[in-house]
Amino acid sequence: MIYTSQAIEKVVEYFSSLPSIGRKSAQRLTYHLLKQSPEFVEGFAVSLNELKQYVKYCSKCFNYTETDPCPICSSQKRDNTVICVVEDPNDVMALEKTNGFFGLYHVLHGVLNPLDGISYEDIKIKELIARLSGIEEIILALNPSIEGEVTSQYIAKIIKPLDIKVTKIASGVPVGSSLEFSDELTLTRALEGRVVL
Amino acid sequence: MIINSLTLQNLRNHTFTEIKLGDKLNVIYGLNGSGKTTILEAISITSISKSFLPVSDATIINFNEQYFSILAKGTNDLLLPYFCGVKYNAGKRKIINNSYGDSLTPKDIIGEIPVIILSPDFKNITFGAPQDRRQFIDTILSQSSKAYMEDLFELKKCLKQRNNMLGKYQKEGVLDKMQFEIWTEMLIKTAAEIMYRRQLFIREFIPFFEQAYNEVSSGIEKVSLKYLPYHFPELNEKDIQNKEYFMEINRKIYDDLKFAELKRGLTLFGPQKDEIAININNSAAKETASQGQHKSLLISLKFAEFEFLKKIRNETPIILFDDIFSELDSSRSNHTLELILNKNAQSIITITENSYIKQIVPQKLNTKYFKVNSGIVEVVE
Repeated sequence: MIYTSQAIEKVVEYFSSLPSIGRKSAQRLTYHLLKQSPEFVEGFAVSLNELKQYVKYCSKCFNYTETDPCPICSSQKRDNTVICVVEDPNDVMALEKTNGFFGLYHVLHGVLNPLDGISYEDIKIKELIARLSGIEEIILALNPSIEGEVTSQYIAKIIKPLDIKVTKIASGVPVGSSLEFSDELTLTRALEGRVVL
Repeated sequence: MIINSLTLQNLRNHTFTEIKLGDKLNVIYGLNGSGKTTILEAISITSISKSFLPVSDATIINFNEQYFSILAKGTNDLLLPYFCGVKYNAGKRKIINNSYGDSLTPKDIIGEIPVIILSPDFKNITFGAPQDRRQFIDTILSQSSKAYMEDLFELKKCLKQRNNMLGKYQKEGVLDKMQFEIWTEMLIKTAAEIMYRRQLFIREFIPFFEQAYNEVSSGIEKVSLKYLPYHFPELNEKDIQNKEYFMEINRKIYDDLKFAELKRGLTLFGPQKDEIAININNSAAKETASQGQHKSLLISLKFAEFEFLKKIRNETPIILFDDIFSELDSSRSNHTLELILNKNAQSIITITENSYIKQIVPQKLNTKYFKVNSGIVEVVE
């Protein structure tokens, strides 16, 4: 395909390199931007710049933040004896929305995956161990993939000897759905994780 | 299940074919390369989402066209209508619809139209490597349990990751020992799950197999199946009742093979090395059976699969036999055909020669004949 302008081509390239955006969507977005006022595009560009300039990792939990430590880590209201370990900053957002967890977080930025060459050093496990003093419970909230499961067990194996309680979030039937629509694997997991009433 | 009508578009040399199939025996005949097998492939695609031959979806599109589409309409054992349509555009995702929903995944439709397929390609089940036999039982088990299918998927992933770590150790000498142990534990757990289900299945399947062999070969020989997990001691009644036994033994085997694994850079234990032995008069069929016995064994395995699937799915499977009569002598063909008719199921068979089958099937049985020539099908009265 021949673009009539190199500038358009460049922007399309950039957009289509983003996750879940294909070439067609990238083109649509680019032409949409062309139609906007110069102020809008200027603002868009500046905000993109600021993203990289101001946002960094929190030195404690490795979530994205503008202030170090981040608002969650520095808050007086949070329970600083509990840490919830997650894979990705997105997961922090998801858990925060529940309004039901008041401890601290730790973002690993990935899970162990030998095939992709992601090992112990590539994710923030060492950093987690470094902040364990005064902690009473570690909650592992990783995704229920095999890699997530292996990472959970890996962390548990390191931390358990230190006499800190290690727990894992339950997996099972989602609230609001019914048993008959759950698949066999979810139901098997739910049965395994049943609780005494 | 009975398929009443089948429409195929741009599948191999069929540009547009519409067939009204009979409820009982359907005979499709024609010369080599005329498009007989393609009709069976079409049914296979609407049943298990892919052809029973080892080909990719892109290669079976008519070479002048960009897509193929198939529509099967039928009635199930409760006399309710069922349809399944599959459309495939080269390079895109398959679009699958059926009576229960739109844009489905292959997993959703597998088993809705239960089929038993036999083609000369399947000889390897009795002749070939253990892998062919594992595949045979995995196909049946996957149709009866989704959890088993998920376990197989998990096993594959576990092996990939573990082999990657072992390979790296072999090449570069580095190994995260703690992580490796966790992957091993994961493999042992999944392996036990799969092995437990496999041995349960084989025990359930044996009576079906024995009976089918008796029917096929008028039973002078005694046949059996035996599950032989790699490196395991002889399984006995008491041990196989629980999964823990399989975990325990696998752990022991891992201990024995630990160093060999590190040296070779490869996982050396697990259900991916299982053998399912087919025995005839207590010796391995692979080595001792004659050509004729191999054929009888294969046909009995398929008839056993028929009865087994019928029982667990509560739906009569459709029998698809591709060109097997060319491999059988006349008395075996006669007998096999008789058995097919006795199953009281819809069956579709392909054959190169028409005159021969007319001899052995009495006309009064409502048999329908189709003649295929370069992708064009006509009904023969």
